[in-house]
Amino acid sequence: MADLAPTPKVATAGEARRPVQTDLFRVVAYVIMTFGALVSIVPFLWMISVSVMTLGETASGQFITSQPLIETFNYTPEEMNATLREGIPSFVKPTDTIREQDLNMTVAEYAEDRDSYWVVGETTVLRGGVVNYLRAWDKANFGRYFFNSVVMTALQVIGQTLFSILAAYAFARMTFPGRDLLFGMFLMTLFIPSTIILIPNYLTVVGLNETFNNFYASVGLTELAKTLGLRWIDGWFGLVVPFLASTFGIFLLRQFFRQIPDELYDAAQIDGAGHTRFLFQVVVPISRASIVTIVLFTFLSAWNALDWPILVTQSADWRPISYGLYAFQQDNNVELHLMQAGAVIALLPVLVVYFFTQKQFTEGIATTGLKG
Amino acid sequence: MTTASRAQLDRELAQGKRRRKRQEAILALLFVAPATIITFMFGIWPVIFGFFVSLHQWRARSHSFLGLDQYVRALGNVAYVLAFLLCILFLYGAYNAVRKIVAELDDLGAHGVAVPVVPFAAAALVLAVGTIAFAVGFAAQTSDVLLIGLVLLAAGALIYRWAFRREGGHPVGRLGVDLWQAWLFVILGVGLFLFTLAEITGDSSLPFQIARKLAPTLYLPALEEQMAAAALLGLALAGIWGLRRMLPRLADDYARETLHTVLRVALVALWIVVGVTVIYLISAFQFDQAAASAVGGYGRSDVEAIGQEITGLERSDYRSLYGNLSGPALANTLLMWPQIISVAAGALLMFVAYRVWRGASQRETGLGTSGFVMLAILLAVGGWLFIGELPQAMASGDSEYYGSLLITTAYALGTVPVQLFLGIFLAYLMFYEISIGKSLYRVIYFMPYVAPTVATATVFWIMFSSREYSLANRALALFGIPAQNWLLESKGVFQIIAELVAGSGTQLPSFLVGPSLALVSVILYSIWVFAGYNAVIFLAGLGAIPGELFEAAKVDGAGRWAAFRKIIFPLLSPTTFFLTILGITGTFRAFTHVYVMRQAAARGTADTASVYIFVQFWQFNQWGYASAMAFVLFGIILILTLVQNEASKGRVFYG
Repeated sequence: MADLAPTPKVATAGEARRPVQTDLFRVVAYVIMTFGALVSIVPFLWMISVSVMTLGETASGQFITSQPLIETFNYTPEEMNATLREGIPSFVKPTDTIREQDLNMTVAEYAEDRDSYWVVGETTVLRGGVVNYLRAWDKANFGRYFFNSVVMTALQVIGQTLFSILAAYAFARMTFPGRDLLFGMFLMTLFIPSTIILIPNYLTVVGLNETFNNFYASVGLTELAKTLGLRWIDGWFGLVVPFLASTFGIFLLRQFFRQIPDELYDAAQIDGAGHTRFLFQVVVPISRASIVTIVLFTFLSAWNALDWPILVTQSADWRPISYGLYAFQQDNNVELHLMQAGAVIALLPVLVVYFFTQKQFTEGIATTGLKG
Repeated sequence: MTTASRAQLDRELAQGKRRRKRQEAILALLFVAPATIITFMFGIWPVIFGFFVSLHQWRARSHSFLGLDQYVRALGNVAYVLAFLLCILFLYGAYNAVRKIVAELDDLGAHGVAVPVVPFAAAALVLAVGTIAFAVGFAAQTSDVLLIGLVLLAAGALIYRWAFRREGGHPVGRLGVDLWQAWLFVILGVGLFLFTLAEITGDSSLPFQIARKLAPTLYLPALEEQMAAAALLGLALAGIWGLRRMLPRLADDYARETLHTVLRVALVALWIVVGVTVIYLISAFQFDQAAASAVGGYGRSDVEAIGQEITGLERSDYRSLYGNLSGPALANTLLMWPQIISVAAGALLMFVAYRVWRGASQRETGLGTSGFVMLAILLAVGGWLFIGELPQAMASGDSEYYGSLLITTAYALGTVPVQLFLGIFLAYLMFYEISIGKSLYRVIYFMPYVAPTVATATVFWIMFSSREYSLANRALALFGIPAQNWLLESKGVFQIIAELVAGSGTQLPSFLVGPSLALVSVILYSIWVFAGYNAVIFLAGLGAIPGELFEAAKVDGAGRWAAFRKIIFPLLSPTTFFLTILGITGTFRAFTHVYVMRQAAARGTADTASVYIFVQFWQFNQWGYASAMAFVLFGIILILTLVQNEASKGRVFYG
C-alpha cells in the first residue's frame, strides 16, 4: 500500500502553508498512533509474560517474572536416583515447601512431580519459564491439540482450495445446464448464519457416524478406522468434510477468473490444451494472489474454529487447539501460566504465517473484507 | 467442393460442436460436483432440516411434532403476530407475481404467441400433486407429507425452468416461472395462515371453556367468531387497497362505466365492513379483557377441578396434558387474540406510516407534503398505541431469550459505533498524517484480528478477572477507582458508576442501570479486536479516493476537518456502510469470544443470543427449541440487513 501514500510534493506544499500547526498535529498523530499500537500489543505481551511466570507469580500481581527463562542442572544418574532425604538437590528453590512425604521421593520423581521443573533424559533438570511450555505441550496435552489442528487445517486448506478452484472455474468459464441456478443457491448460503446450521449439521454428522461405524463393524475394520480417524465423531471426517466447500472462496475466485481474457483460453486451445490443462497450467499460476488469500482465510477459520469442534469431538484426544485451550480454561482456571503457554502455542503458527504474508493478508482482507 | 459434401461437412461440424459442448458440460459438472455436494449437504440442506427440527420436540431416537409451539415458547404471542405478518408478506408476493402474469398475458396476446401445452400441463400436474400432498400433510399434521409436498412444488418450478430454458427471455418462459411463484406464495401464505389459526384455537379451546365456567355471568365471545371478524377486516382492507389502485385506471375508460360505478359502491361497502368489524373487535376485546381479569386470580387447583370436569380425564392424565394451566395462564390465553391483532395492526400501521412518509417527499405541493407528513405522524402514533400491547404479548415468551436479544443489541450498540469511529480515525491518521513506520503500525493494528480468538479471549479473561492484581483493576487503581469484578459482575455499568460517585447506597431505576460490567468487558474485547480491522479496511477505502480531490481542497484553503467532513467521509460511505452491516450482523452472530469469556458469576448477563442458543442446544439438549430460536435470530439478522440497505439509499455515495 506504499504506492497509495501522498506524494512528498503535496506534503511539503501543505507544510509550507501552515508549518507550525502541521508539525504539532503530526506529533500528536504519532503519539496517538503509538498509544493505539501499545493497546493493541499489550494483551499479547501479557500473554507471553504470564506464560513464563511461576504459578505463584500469576496471582501475585508481578508484571514480569523474576525467574530466568531457562536454567539447566546436570546430575549423575546416582544423584538422580537418590531420595531427597539424602540431600536436597540444588535446583529446588528456597521458596519451595518440602513436605514429609516428598522426602521419600527420588530426585527424578520429585522433579517430575513439581510443575516448576522438567526432566530431560536421565540426568538433566530444567527450571524456569520454558518449563511452562514443556509442561503445557506434554502434560496439558497441547502438543496433541496442536498436531490435531495442524492436520485438520492442512486437510481443510488443501481440500477447500482445490474444490473452490474447480468450482469457481466451472462457474466462471464453462457453460453447463443449471449453472446460474446453482450459483444462485451457492450465494444464498452466504446469508445463513452458522447458528442455524449448527444443530442440523450435528444431527447429520451423528447419523453419518452411526452409518459409517455400522459399516466398519460389518467389514471388521472398526479398529483401523479408529486409528486412522476415518469417523465423523472423533475423526477427521467430521472435523474436515463440512468445510471442504466455501461459497466465499468460490465467489472470490470466480470474480478473478472471469477477468482473465478469452484470448488466453483460445491460445491454449489452439496449442491443444483443454479446460483442465488450461486451468492448472495457466489460470492457477496467474491467480496466485487470490488463491493465497483463500488459503489464508481457510487457515485462519480452521485454526480458530471452536463451536463445530466442540460438537464433533468427544474424547480429549481429538480436540483441535482452540477447543483444547477452551477446555483447559474451563477445567483448570488456576494454572494461568500453563493456560497462557497454551495460548502462545495456539498463537505462534498464526503469527508466523501472518508476518511472512502480511502484505497478502491485509490486502486480501481489505479487498474482500471477510475472515472466511 | 460439391454441395453435398459441403452439407455433410456442415453437419459434421455441428455434430462436433454439440459433442464438445456436451463434453464441456460433463467436465464442468465434474468440477462443481465436490463443492456442490458438500454445500448442499452442510450448507443448504441444514436450513431445511433445521426448520423441520424447529417444529419438533427432537430427541436422539424419536421426535414429535409440535408445530409453532417452540416459537411460541421463545417469543410468546409475538410468534403468532410474526406468523401473520409473514402470511401477509407471502400474499403480497403472490399479488406481485399475479400482476406480472397479467402483464405477461397481455404481452402474449399482443404478440399472438400460443402457450405450449405439454410442459404447462406437466408442471401443472406436479404443482397439483404437490399442493394436494401439502394439504394432506397439513390436515393430518404429518410433517413428512408436508415436506414431500414442498419438494414437489419445488420440482414444479424446476420443470418450468427446464421446459422454458430454450425460450430464454421469451414471455412464455417468464410466465411459467411467475405462475409457479404466485402459486407457491399463495400456498405458503394461506397454509401458514390456516396453520396458525389452528394452533391458536387448539391451544385455546379448553381455556375458553374453563373461563366460561369460572365466570358464568360474563359474556365471552367465541374465539372463532373473533377470528372470523379479524379475517374479514383484513380481507376488506386488502380489497380497499386493491380497488383504490384499480379505480383511477378505470375512471378514464367510458366503455366500462358501469363496472366503475359498481366498484365504487363496493368500495363504500367495504369501508362499512371495516367500520363494523372494527367496532365488533373493539367490543369483543373489552369482553375478553373483562373475562381475563375475572379469571386471572384463580389458583391452579380451581382451574384444574373445572378442567378435569370438562375433559373427563383422570387427574394424572389431565396434569400431563394441561398441567401448566392456572388463572394467569387462562387470562393470557383469553388475551392472546386481542394482543395478536393489536400488535400486528400496530406493526402494519407503522409500516404504512413509513411508506406515507417516504411518499411525502415526492408530493409536488407544499400542502400535499405537509398533509402527508401529518398523516404519517398520525399513523405512526396510532401504530405505536397498538404496539403498546407488545410487552404483554412478549410476557408469555422466554424472558431469558428476550434478555439475550437485548444483551446482543446492547453489545452491538456498544461495539459497532466505537470501532467504526476508532477505525476511521486511525485510518485517517495512518494515511494522511504519518509517513514513518506506516506498515509497522498496520501490522500491529491488525494483529488482534488475526490472532486466534480463543487465545486472545483467554488473555482478556485473565486481564479482566476480579483479582485485585488483574491488569484491568490495576488500570483502575491508577485513577484511584476500587477494584471491580469485571467479567464476573452482573451489575449494570451505570449502576456501578453511580455507586462510585454517589456512595454505595445509590440505586438507579432498572432501565438506567445499563449493560452489565461483564458485557462491557466483552465489548472492550471486541473493540480491541475490530478497531484495527476496521482501520485497515478504511485504509484501503482511503487509498481508492483520488488524491487530487484532497489536494484541491487543501489548495482552496480547506482545513483538515472540512476536508475530512466534506470529501473524505462522503467518499468513504460505501466502506462505512459495508463495515456497519458487517459489524452489526457480526455482533449478532458473535459466539467464540463470548463463549470463552462467559462466567457463571455474571449470571448470563453477558450471554448474547447465539451463546444462549448454543447453551440451550448443547448443554440442555433442547435441539428443536434451539433451532426455533436460531431461526428467529436469522430473521432478525435478515431484517437488520434489509433495514440498513433501505436506510443507506441516497446516503451512500458510490464513486
